[in-house]
Amino acid sequence: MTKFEDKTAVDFVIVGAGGAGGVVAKELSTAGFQVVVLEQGPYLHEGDFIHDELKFKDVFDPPFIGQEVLTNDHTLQPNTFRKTAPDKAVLTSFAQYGRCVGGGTVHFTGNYWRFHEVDFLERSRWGAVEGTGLADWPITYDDLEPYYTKAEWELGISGLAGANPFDPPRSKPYPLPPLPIKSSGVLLERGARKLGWHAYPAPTAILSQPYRGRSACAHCGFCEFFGCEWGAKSSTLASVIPIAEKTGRCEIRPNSYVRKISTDTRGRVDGVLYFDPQKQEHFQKAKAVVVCANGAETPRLLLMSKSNLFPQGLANSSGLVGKFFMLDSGSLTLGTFEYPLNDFKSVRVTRVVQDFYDSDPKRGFYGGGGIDARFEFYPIGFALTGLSPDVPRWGAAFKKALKENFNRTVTVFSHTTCLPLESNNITLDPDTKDAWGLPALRVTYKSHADDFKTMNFFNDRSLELLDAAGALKKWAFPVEDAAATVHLMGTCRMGNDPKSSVVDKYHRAHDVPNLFMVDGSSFVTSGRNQPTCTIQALAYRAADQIVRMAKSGSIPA
Amino acid sequence: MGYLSHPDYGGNHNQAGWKLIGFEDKMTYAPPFGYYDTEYNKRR
Repeated sequence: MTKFEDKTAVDFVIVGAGGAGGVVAKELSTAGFQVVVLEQGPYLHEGDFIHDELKFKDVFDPPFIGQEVLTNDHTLQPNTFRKTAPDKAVLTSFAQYGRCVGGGTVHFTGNYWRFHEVDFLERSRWGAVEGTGLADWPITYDDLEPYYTKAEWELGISGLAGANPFDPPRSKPYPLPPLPIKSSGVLLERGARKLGWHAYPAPTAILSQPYRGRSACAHCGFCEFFGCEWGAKSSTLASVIPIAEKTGRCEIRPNSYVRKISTDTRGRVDGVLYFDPQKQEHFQKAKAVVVCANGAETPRLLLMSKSNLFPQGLANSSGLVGKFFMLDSGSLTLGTFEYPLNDFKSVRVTRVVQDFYDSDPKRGFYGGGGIDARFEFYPIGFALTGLSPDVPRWGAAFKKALKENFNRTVTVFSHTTCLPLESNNITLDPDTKDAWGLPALRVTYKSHADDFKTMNFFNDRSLELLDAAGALKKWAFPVEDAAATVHLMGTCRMGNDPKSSVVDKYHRAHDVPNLFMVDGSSFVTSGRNQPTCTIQALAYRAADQIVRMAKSGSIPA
Repeated sequence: MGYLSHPDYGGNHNQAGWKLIGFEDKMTYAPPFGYYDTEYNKRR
């Protein structure tokens, strides 16, 4: 196993071994560069992932029963939350992210949607939305298309090209056929057909067939919130990190919590300060740093990296680090059906509808999204939150309802736009500290009125879909402001103007020539809130450019 | 919660809770999985 000395200035330190960090590590190390990846979480393996809902179930999803094994532990790293700046922030578990080697790609569902062409141009196409920072990206879909394709083929994505009439153009089909349809997918397809909508096989980051030495999905059903025992989920842990390590030029250093990016007297990055598992501090020297710590921790780390040269925080001359925070908006509806679906088996999602992806002026508000059907529960979570509101939560009637409905319930889940507001942001809490004595992550967030209208619109479409599919009974979770989030976006937005953005179109900090931010923080808009595919395409594109710049000597150390 | 948790915790003895609701914990399954996909595949 490759080990680098702290005092040796490696070519690159990458902060975070997740969906983006794993990709960048593989690309830089295979291009010949020395790389140290500092990951705050543990290095787990397939044998660590077991079917234990009490242990692994993700806590973001109410009723918060998990132990935060794969994600950030809020008892050690508290968040605080307030809706608006004048409010007093209170302790919460608001922002959640993967905290292990592989990051969120270890426990994610595997929905793998490309953005559409319009996602990069919505300010031009739609116009301004009052009270928001809606802006065009400095890149287009065409710029990113080769890297979407690269991500799909390198990581291993299952899907059917051409099946979605609303899909953007693609240069290659998916490397693997779609996963087998489940009953939830059949019902979504049935309802969509009746309504004149178009269901298509879900693009999924799970292998439908063996691929590049990895096993195919065995349909055990423990995908979302869990790590895959088979290595069939296309996490960076299973796919590209092993390739990076095989180069002999990449060291993954787990349980290493970065507290500050250090700069020299010229304002260039020269390494990072981090805590080891014993909370001893180290300084890893580096010629350049790539921050892939996610849309909440990346801005937090920059804000904690203040110095005389960077008094507002590193790379923050614009004052926009942490601003324009966006998260996973959507709606959740449920229905029960006559016959057993057994949807606890296999992958979560097998069919998707994107008929309402684009904003439509006829609706009278900005916003769009996509809809999937799934069974969003494991046994305990179903008993606590999966039954309709009129069912008693105790006694014989409760037991009867569990028995009758566990295998007959479908969740219709919409994923919708979230507008970028400067007032929604990540900042450092002035009062609350984490277990290392660092300022806690403070979230300020309130949905824009158009986001509520969009969520309600999709809630109504989802209920229509359940009716059309033949649901015996249907109900919805309330459409309300987010109480927690897992899709963290927009806080170091990409742009051409250093006054209105944090990184350039190649993810280099406008203010620091050897510092890059590559993760959901670069997003200018939210897409339709399935961000992993685009985060990883951006990571491939950024890495491509970083390699070119490093080889041509244009990253000054 | 124990009644529906992993049997190792003790409350779901002999998987009694899982059997009640119709859940099985296996490492592998093969399609078709439920009624609607079985009927769907018959028509194909």
